[in-house]
Amino acid sequence: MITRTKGQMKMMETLLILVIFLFLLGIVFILYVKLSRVSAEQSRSEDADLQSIEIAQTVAFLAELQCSAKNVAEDNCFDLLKINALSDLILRDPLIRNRYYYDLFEYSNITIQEIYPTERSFTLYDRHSEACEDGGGCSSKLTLIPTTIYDPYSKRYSFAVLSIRTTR
Amino acid sequence: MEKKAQVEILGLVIVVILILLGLVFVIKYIILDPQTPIRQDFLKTQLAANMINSVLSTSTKDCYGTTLKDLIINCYDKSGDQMICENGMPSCRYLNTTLQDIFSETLDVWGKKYTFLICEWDNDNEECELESEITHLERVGCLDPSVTRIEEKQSPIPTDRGQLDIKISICD
Repeated sequence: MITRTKGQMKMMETLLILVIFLFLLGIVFILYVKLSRVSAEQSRSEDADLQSIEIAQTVAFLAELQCSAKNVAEDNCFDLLKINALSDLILRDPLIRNRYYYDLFEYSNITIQEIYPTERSFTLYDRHSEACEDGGGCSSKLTLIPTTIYDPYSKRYSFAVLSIRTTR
Repeated sequence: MEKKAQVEILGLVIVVILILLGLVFVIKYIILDPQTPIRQDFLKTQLAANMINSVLSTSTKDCYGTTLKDLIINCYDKSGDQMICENGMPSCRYLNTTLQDIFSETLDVWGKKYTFLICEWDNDNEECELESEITHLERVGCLDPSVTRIEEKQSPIPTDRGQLDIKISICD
């Protein structure tokens, strides 16, 4: 009788240790899943951030738009004639928009808004992902960069804002 | 027998405590670790630098097409030859009105906190002389000591009378 109770006690002890071990294992597993999810979300958000910065930098230094004098590019300035030419070209030729510029700008909306002295807006590129158009879950990032527009006819600079909204 | 069981339980308790301590560290340093705001830092730096450069090279609407940089220099030169713009405004007033227009359409609309200063540079103290301010614009200014994460950009403008300093601070 005494031996049976001792055996039961031993079994209970082993069972208790097993339960505690499984409980801890469960907590570790839940934490691992949560950690993986958090890290995946962080990585996705970081990728989106880097993509929006990359596109903003590409537009800011695009040779098709930058002001230049004697083949020397001028920072922080877009040529008005080049803006009109590029927006016309992208609007007229879907092949150029969907192939060449899609590789550079992916799904984004790029506009230059003149603020001073006059207010007007130039849309350079506009393409949205189908997921966004269907109202599906997509994230968008807006980047606003102050810049200037140079009018070669009047030789005057206007204050403008380069606005880039990237979606993915 | 009883003592052996007590020692075993004590061992178990120590193992559980160690695991819990490990979990606390994991939660504190990995899960609750704030992300480095790469994008926000980049945007603030770019915004501050581009704002100053763009403002300085912008041409005026009705002040003979001079740039705002030339208008700042003219406004600072108080020798009596202050330019009168085409709309009848003296250069200093025209400059302030134009800057207000630009900032109210950009940083104010975007809800950014900023301080924009144009003042005389004091070579002895190596700082801006606040008494000699030409322009001071701000929205919930960044000069408050409680404000953190400030991005500052400065641009010096040499003139015949001395050096002017243009400073923009953008903060969270």
